[in-house]
Amino acid sequence: MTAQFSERLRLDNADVSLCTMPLDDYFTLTGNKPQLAVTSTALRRGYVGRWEITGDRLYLIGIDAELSNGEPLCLEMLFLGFPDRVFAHWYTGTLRIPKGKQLKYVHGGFGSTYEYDLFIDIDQGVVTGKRLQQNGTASRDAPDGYQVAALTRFLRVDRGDKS
Amino acid sequence: MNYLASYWIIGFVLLGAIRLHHHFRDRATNQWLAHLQGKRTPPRSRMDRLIRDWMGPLAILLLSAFVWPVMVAIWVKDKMPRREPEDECEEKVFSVMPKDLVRRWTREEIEAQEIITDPLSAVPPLPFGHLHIVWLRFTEQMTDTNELWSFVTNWEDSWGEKSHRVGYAIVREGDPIKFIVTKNGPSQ
Repeated sequence: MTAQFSERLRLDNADVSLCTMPLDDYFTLTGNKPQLAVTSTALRRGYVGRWEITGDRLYLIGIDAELSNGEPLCLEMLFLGFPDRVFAHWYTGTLRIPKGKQLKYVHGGFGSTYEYDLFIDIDQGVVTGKRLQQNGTASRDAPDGYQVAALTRFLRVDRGDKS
Repeated sequence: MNYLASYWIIGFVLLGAIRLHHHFRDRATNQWLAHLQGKRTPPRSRMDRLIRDWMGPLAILLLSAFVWPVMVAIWVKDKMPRREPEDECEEKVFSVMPKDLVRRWTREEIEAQEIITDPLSAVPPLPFGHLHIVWLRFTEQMTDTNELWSFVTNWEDSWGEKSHRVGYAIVREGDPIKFIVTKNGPSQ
């Protein structure tokens, strides 16, 4: 197991780490996930979604991923006719945004803990509540912000026919 | 020193007991094996006989005197009732039960109710928005005799994760036969 790269969330004019994967719910509900290239043990899901909360709504505004054939994946491929912004109405749950310094590093999933967690409750894409939870106080030399300490990169092997 | 001597004595006694046990239990087998060996093995040299009759048993005797607790542990483990290997944990598959059904709807009612709008126009103005294709695939499976029902249920998956699921089901003679989940949220 390896700690996983977070999603990115634009919140109050700042880019923060998002330790929740609303796009996975979309893939589950549709029963259709594209074949994505997994290039690292720290990105088993194969993509990093870029999100934004505007007007109390959750939007998917970009995706960084490669298809298994090496072609870059863009929003338009997933949401035909919506290349720039997608309202995440399919998502109901709680977003977790870690903040502050690291309290404990866990080399698996989003298991590491930080001084604060901002939880944002979402109901069918609409923000219904926010709460900030303090988890403790880190030492002065603790790393600041969400981090993945180690990973293994997979090399792409060209399996094209040689003629 | 007394403890060490006692340890060794117990080892020797135990080994003797095991040897006797096997001697009486397997007498018939031994005789049969000896008969078979006598026929198949050519006469051995004095060195062969020395190794088989003296050095081998002596090595086992000395080794057993040192490690007899291991032998006891193996014997006890062997006598313990064996636990049957547990069946492979099958992943639970979500399904809608008749008790989860809430009310009957027409297709038109559902489609009117499930239109999703967005002030930034980031969703198609269709029933179920970005999940419209799922709805189309679902309704393709309807027949004239089927009914459409909404359902609400709480679900716990194979890892114990609970969720609250809402959606619609195609119902035939009271039984949900197909369904779509339109909301999968935290357990309530």
